[in-house]
Amino acid sequence: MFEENAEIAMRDEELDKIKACIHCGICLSACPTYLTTGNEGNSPRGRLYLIKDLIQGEVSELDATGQEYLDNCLSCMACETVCPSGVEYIRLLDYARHEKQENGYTKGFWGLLRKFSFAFLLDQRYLLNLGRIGLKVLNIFYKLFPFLPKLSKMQPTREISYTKLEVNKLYPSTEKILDEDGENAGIEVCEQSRTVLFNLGCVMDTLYNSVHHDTIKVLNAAGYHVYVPASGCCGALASHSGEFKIGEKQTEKFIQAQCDALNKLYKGPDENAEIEDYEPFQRRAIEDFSNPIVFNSAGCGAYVKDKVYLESLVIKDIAELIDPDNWLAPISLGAFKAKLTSLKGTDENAEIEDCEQSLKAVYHPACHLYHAQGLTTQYQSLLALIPNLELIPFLEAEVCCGSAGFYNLIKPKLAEPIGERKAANIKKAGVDLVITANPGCMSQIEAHLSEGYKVIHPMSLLARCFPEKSNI
Amino acid sequence: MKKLLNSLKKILKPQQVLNKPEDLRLYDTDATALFKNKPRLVLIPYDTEEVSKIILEIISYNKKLKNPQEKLSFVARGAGTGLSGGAIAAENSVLISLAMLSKLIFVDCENRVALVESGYVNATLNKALLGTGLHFAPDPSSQLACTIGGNIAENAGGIHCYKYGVTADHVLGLEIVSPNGEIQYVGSLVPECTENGTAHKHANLNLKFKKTLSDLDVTGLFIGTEGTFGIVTKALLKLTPNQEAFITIQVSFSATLTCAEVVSELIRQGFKPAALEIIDNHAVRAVNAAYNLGFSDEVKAVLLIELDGINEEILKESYRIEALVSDFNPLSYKTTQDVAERLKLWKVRKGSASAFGRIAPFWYLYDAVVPRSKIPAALQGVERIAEKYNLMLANLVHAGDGNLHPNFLYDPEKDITVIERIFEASHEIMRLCVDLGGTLSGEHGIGVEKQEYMDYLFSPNDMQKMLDVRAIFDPEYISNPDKIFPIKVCKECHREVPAHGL
Repeated sequence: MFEENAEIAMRDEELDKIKACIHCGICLSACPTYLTTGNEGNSPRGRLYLIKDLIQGEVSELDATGQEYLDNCLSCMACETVCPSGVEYIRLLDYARHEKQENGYTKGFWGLLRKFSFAFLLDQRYLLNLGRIGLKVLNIFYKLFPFLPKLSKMQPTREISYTKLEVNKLYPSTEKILDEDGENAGIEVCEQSRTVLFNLGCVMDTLYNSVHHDTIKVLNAAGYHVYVPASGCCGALASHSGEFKIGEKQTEKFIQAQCDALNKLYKGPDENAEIEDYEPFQRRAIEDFSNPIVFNSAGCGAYVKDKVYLESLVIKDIAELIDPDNWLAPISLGAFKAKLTSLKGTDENAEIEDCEQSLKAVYHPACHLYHAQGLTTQYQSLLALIPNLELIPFLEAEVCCGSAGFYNLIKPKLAEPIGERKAANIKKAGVDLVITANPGCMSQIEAHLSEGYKVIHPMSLLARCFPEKSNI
Repeated sequence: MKKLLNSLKKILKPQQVLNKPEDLRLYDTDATALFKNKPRLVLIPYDTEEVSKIILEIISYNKKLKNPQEKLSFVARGAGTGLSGGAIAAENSVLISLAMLSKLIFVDCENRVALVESGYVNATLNKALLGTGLHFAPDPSSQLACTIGGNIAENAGGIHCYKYGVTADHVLGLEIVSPNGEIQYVGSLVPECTENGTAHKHANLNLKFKKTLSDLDVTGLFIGTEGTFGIVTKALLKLTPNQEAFITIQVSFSATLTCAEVVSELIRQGFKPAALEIIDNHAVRAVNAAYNLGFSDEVKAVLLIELDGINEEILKESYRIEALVSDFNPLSYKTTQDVAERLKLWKVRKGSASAFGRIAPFWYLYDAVVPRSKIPAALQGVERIAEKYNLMLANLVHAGDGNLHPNFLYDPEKDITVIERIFEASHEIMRLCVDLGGTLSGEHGIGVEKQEYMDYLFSPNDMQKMLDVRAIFDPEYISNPDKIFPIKVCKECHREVPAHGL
């Protein structure tokens, strides 16, 4: 399932890849940690210089300073985007991090705690739910005693609403949906190939559960049936934080869950009665399934795409799946008439007022979309479907916000200036609405913007443009 | 050293003072792979005042020294993208990184000026200027990362400098920290309140643009001195209005020489394009591999011509160029007025230098200048020298101003003697260019790379004059010492300067 311990077994010729770095420095101005510290060691060129010493045997191991520089990397991959020599920086970095099993992320008490959370917390929905309830209790506690210092800047203070999504369930696209004129805009059962697997994941479901509901709504509107497999974390968070073994195990489990789900879809009715209603799904043999596994979190999509090489598994970010130019959906593009003008307030279901003013927003491209998956324009063209929405360009848009998995919890000292820089650039654009498609970015930007700003997932914005569902 | 560290730690935060062995290793070179030297200490000041305080600390440390041989000097560094080793520390040198002096202070569209700190990145300024109809003209190939301070130190040029001029033509005033630690203003940059004299007490005072033309051009004197006159901390830049229209022309040829002849003919006939670039064989191959540009194997050279100005005029001009070029049997001729297409055509040049990494792990970019009319002769000569020393050559030429960039691609692991051969070859190239009536450097500066060639061009008397001027700014000889002038001359000059305060 995995490329034979890809990071560890880098061949000699792959080690030669380090030579592609000619020390030109073009990557410096793209690197968030260099931008905020000005330290060569916190730049891709600097880190590669250290890795080069390691690989070529000039030093047997890095000292604490050098190790810290490697640990400080956000793995945002912005440097790979700008590198004209095509240096495979992340592979080289992972290789160097592997060299020393005990890195800054994994040692000590906090390392153990992280190991525990990666291995158990993220993988068990009931533990995640406990965690969410814990956060709720904590928030009530802080409301009662507002003078108490917060545990971390990242501690979410907003109301976390949660409506459970069932796993092993199909959310079909056949519900009759009315367009603006009250006409029935729904169609009959779509083709079976238009069923997608949509995983709840860990952080997104816990902190931004409503985004999942919105995503399913948009997918349904675009004519896709949505099947939710019983899966846990995909392993991205653990891997990005250097816990490669835990990550690999989780990915294996995750992929198994996808295969189980596809089995259930194609092999026909088992305990799930709802699938029984959709005969066409049973026709295809499992060998040629091509149902996409779709993600609405940048980090998960990038990681799973990179790690899984089962050819028959199609992995797509939601913006890749939905093609705005070729909209085959129960709801026609003409139904996109709802006008968004204001999204102030914390109420997730705030009414959309109808007026002529345009809604101004900035789109922050998550690194795992822009740099890792190369999705540089897809979300923008999806968002262009929304009438009255104007995307304002802002400085350093494609620079990481400092979230980077759990980086902002592990390295708050470095992540905070990066988050503040992002927030300052957003404020300079003069808008109060930020659109971004990754739970990490959402919480990081939320934490660094003051009151009055709103961070929203593109799917939530799109979902608000549809007329309300009606079950006639 | 400990005493200096302790006093510096009082001024700076811990993350601004780097002295671990690996830190020093990281700062031992810039983009010049062939020269290395570790600094004694790396400091990252956050503003002008901190730069000034650092220099004052170094001076007071030097004053307390018993052995003048241990005297510390300092060198400023921007993004470390320089190609002549200008930002590599000399012996006993403290490296001051200006990476965090990266603020855009103001843009004044009416007067077409912008005030930036010297660590501000060249391309970032143009991003910030989007929508104003203005841009900053100097555009060196490293503009995505290189800093304005570095551009000023090296008097950087770039692709469009044939028409728009080099950095010196686009800087109106400077805030500098002199080698004596004092903050000074030169040119059109003046502090708003100048009462009570000393400026360094008001590091946060408002600076403004004042039109000055009548005084001595100290700004012009300062630009291109590679940090030997002091450290630039802020720069008032002239902004250029964007042109109404542009046309980009990309022509490919089966021989580099034909390409050079076209350039000579274009210039002889009086065309003044905004850019005129030659990319030769290996360079085309590297970029083609890196970006899949679809050049056939036949293509041995690509010529890029960019015209800008009023639409009707440049259209007419482009027809004349097309007619002229067709006499030389080009392999392909592409022309565009579309912004996205333009970037694609330019990719062959803008991405070239760094795409060399795909052919060989190291690359030595040489910078030399000949009179424009001598480009064909120079290219032939360079080719001959490369053959003689069995070196892989890739030429990039800013043909408009006769600026040659021969690149030697090499792998010292596979070829042990290659570095020696490169040095010998570059020696010969330098001789060739000077003999053809050219000079040592077009835009990269002299640094440590070419200091030994200075006497090809300048007599001892010439150099002494320059050193005399330098001594006015830096009498203690502590600002980026042992650069530009041949080491022997540097050392002599060093000895002549009386050690003050001892």
